[in-house]
Formats: sequence, C-alpha cells, structure tokens
Amino acid sequence: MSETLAAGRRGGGRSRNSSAAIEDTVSAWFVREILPLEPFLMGYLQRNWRNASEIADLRQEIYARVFDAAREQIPDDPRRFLTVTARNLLINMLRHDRIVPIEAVADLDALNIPEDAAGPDRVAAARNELRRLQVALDKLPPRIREAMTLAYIEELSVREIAARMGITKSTVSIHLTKGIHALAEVIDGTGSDKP
Amino acid sequence: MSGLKEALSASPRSDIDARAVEFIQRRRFQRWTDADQRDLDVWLDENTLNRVAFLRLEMRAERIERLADLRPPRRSVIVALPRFHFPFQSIIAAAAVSLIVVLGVAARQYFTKPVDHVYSTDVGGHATLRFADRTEIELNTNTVIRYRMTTTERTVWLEKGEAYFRVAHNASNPFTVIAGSHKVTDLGTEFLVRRNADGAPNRLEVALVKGSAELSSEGPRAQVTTLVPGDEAIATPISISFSRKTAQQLADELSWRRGVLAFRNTRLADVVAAFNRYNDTKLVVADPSIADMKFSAEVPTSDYEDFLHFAETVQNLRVDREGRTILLSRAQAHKGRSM
Repeated sequence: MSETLAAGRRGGGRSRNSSAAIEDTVSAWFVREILPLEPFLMGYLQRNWRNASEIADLRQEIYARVFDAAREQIPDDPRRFLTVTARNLLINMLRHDRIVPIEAVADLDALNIPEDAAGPDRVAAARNELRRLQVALDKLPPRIREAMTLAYIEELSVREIAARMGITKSTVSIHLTKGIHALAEVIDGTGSDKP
Repeated sequence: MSGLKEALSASPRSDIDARAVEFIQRRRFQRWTDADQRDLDVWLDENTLNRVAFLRLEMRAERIERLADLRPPRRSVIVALPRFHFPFQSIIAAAAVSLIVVLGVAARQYFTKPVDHVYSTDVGGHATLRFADRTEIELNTNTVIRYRMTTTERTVWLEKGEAYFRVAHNASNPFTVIAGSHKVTDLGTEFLVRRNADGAPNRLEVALVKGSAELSSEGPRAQVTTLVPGDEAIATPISISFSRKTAQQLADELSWRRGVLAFRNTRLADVVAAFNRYNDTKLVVADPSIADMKFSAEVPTSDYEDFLHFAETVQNLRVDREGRTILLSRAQAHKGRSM
C-alpha cells in the first residue's frame, strides 16, 4: 500500500465556530515559530533529497504535517519537531521508492540541528531585505513591475493604476497577483539576509 | 515516490500557491466582502496544504510592503492627500498580524485638534471600540486614547495605559499609533500598546507576535525599524534595542485580555506593579530585600487577596494593611529564609 500524503489530514466538515479559535492559535504559532525556520528546512531538504524539483512540494507537505500535529498539541521545540517531521517524511518516501540508498538514510539519521543564527542587527537586515526586494522588482517583466511600483511605492488604487497604465482593472489584478507571487518567493521570510 | 506524485497531482502545489496569492492580492487591493472572507475560510478549511501555503505566502506578501520605504519622504503631503478615496472599496480585511507595544512614559503631549475623540477606562476597566472599517481597539485598565479615524487619516494617540489594536489594513489610509516621540505604523497588524504613567519617560516597548509593523522615532536620532515576529523592541529617544520573546511570554503579556495576570518567575516588585495597575488598593514592597523574590501564578487581575494569602502563608511574608495601601515585608520569624 502506498502512503498517501493526504492520509489523516483534517479537512472540511469541521464547524468553524468550534475550530476557528484552534485554527487561529495554531496559525499564529505556525507563522511565529515554523515559517521563520524555512531557510533551515530548505537547507536540510537540499542536503538530503536529490531531486531538487520536488523540494518545494516536500516543504509544503512537511508544513502541513507540522500544522496537523500542532492542532492536537503545540510542540515544545519547533525546530526539533520540524526536523523530525522532515526526516520521517523523507524516510517514508525512500521506503516507498523500494530501492533504498543506504547512505541517504544514514545521513538522515544524523540529526543536524544547528543553533539559530541570531540576527543582531535587525535594522541592517531590514535594509538588506529592502535592497533584495528592489532588485527582484527590477527583474520583473516591465508591465508587472510598473503595476507593482504604482501599487506599493506610489500607493495608487487598482482603479488609478488601470487609468495610469491604460489597461483594465482585471488586468491590473492579474499583474499584481503575478508580481506579489514573484516577490513573495524571493523574500527569505526570516527578516535576516541569509540566502 | 508514487504516493507523493499521486497526492500532488491531485492538488499540485503550484495551483495551491497561485490560489493563495490570488486571495492575498484580492484582499489587499480589491473590495473584500464577507462573502469573500467566507470563500477564503472554506478554502483554508478544505486542506491543511491550502492553509500552510496561504500563511506562508501571506507572511511573505506582507514584507513586500517594505517597498513603500522607497518612496521619497513626503511629510508635508500627509496634511493634504490629493487622492481619490473609495471608503469601503479600499478597506482590506485585517491581515493576520499581531504586535504588542509596551510603553513607559510621560512623553510630551501632542497638540489636540477638535476633530479628535477621546476614550478612557478607569482602573480595572476593560473596553472595546469597534470602527466602521472593522478596526478594533481594546483598552486595558486605566487607559486614555485619543483618535482620529476618517477616510483619509487613522491615527491613535496613546496618552496613557495599554491597548490592543486589530487593524484593518488599508494602504491608502495607513494606521498609526503615536506615543510620545515614537510611532508604530501597521503593515497589516494586530498589536498591543502599553504606556505606564510611572515608567521611564518616552520609553516604548514593542513586541511583534505575527506579521509586520514599523517602529519609528522622531528626534535627533530618528530611525525606522521593521519588526518581525517574536521581536520585542525597546525604543528610547536615543536608541532602539531588540530581544526575542517566546510564544509563552507573548501570551502572558496579552493575558489581561482574558482578565488575568500571568506571572512566571516574576520578581515580587513586578508582581506588585502589575496588581497596582488594575486596582485602587496599592501594594507596596516595604522591604527592598524581598523585591527580587520570584513568583509564578496566573490570577484574575482583581484578585490580589489570593496572592497576599499565598505570600503570607507559603512565602512567609508579612502583610500590613493601612487603608488602601498594603505593605509587604519580611516576617520577623527567624525561620524565614535569608536571601
């Protein structure tokens, strides 16, 4: 039997009234404790998984498993919990691959948990992030860049952007969605300037 | 491997991400109705993969707001914004951001304009103000705020005390909290602001729970800082320094919203100060040698009697009542621990 990733996942059917508070609490915890560990998680996956094209999918699956578990109980040590969840998933994946590359499993067992690299200079980090955003903005396709600039720097409304660019509001929305997606992926999400 | 491929082909990550960003874009830039919110809630509840994708991209999208820093300075423009305003169109649902701001005080008074409204709570009071744009302000004990909430300006001055803000983000009408020479600007934010009448002059403490907000100070050493989740910033007229707060510490700081005080290895001097914020009867540490004793407890804000009983019977402290003042000192019994 193959392990399906959706197995045991909680989903629809829950009443919002009874569960909204739990969702909010877990969401707040997840954003605060887990998401900032993304550079660490990505480093772990890159070291331990060969197929780079699957890493983003694995990351999201690990996030979902962590979130599901946190609904039952919020883990005490987010970094350790994230690492263990990642390791278990990778091991299961390897098992279902039938041919188990032994060195890969050995490597997985070496739980490599570096200490959090504290970013003492937040002001500088924030400035670096701004620079990175600016570079990413410059790399966007011209029309998307223009819409993003008008929206985020000039702070124009969608209607004003449409008028300025001579396009419809729905086209502005499409540009903005693409622009937000592109920039959101270049931000490292921790506020620090590590790649 | 087959398991992963099957599962992912059923709901490919890239589609989930695209859908999440679509929601984020619409909420940020379009008219956002209750029906839209329901659609989003249904989608989030469908699958945890949807929810984690949304939370991740939402947090990252908020950081794009940093681009506003590239705008040339325009202080004078704030007075008259020559913009179109579509009062309800541009209102964005409160982004999921939480921020705590704690402030010690006595800063200079800001000029008051006739359009401003003032709202206050007494010692032990607790009130929530709800505005048309869905912004909510929850006032803790002994708090005074002044506010100007219009379609072109949303500014709150914290004159005294502590308030929790749940801000409906609107890029064309930023929300600002001013306390002394410090200013917190939301980038899609929920936050708490505290200002103690007996605190250090013009000292501001900001702890961000979630999302992002900007802290700035005026004056000769002006600086602007973007806060990330877990940051606690302490701003004085000459510096801004940072420390990290755990989830537990942040929850404790917000415990007043549940009507309780949370102490975890808290110094007696701080315990007493906390009770005194909520009660007219004032506790006083009469003996400096006990000020550093540590206490852990979670008690209703008005229930200092329980605490006194505990201090007296378990910690062997002496409790003397003099009218509305209660003095705490070391009991004379020689069996008391020496510190």
